[in-house]
Amino acid sequence: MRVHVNLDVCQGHARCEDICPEVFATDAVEGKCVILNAEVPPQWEDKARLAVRNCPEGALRVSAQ
Amino acid sequence: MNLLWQPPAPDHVPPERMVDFDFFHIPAGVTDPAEIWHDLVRRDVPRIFYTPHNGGHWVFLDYDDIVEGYRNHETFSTYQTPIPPIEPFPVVQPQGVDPPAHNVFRRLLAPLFTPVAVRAMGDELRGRAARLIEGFADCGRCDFIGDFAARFPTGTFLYLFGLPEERLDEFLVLANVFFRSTDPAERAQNLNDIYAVLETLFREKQANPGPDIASTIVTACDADGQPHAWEDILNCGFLLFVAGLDTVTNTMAYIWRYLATTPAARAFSGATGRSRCLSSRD
Repeated sequence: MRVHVNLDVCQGHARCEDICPEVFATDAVEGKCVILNAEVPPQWEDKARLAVRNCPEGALRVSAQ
Repeated sequence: MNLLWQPPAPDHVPPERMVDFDFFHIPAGVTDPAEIWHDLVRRDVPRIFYTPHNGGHWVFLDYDDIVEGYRNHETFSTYQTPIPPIEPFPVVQPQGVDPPAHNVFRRLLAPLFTPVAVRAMGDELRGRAARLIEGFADCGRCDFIGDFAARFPTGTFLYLFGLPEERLDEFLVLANVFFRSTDPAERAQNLNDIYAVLETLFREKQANPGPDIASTIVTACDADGQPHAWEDILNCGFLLFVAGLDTVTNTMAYIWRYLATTPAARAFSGATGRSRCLSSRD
């Protein structure tokens, strides 16, 4: 499973980092999403999906590859 | 409430979407304001409806519609949102500005409230909460709103903005009038008072910047390396003032009311170890 972020849409609510810090972080300059693990390790897949669903802007998405 | 609303619908509203609903009216006997919303759903009113009360506005009842509304700024602009309208009302930064202009102040504020930045404030904020609780702990009881929920966020605002603690009561009064008053003259004067406070604050921080959010805002530059417009700086301070006070008070009140009346949630909260206050003083 891979995760993707659209940085034009991300506003830096940082819900993703709060829910799944193993996969998502926020950059210190603009406060926008940084993906640490685009290829999500299996043990974090559920949390990463929850983070994607919780993005207020819908800036995150999941793909199989 | 009477669903057979008498006034004709405005031109842009289909008559079947008119509902007699007053956002500020709590019917006699209702102790849980959430029940007012549940009641609308139970009565099967349209999931998106229009009420002519308080200047006339749309109401969304479905979570999915609300999410879509927030994401679709082209149809659902966030420009001038007070209910009822306040005239003139400042264009608050960044909340009252749609993209792409929205991003200017969002980019300035977002790094100040990332999980990492907020964790760094943790010890200071926990200390502030503990001191407030110590103030009434010996009584064995408190008025949760007056003794804690109203004072904690206002004190936090003073800390984040680099203002002295002695001004707490002054800010409590400003916030209370802003959120409670429905008198037009009083509201206009209150808005002037808040802006006068912000003007003085930002002038001081401009001359003597410190490690606080007000200094960060007033000393920041735009993409061309120029300071932001003074009006926008004031409007950003205004947003943080109103957003940081009443919203936090109300959210805490709802959380604690829920915990107080829901033993299962209290047990869960204690089990996760994230609420030491609860487990020690339950």
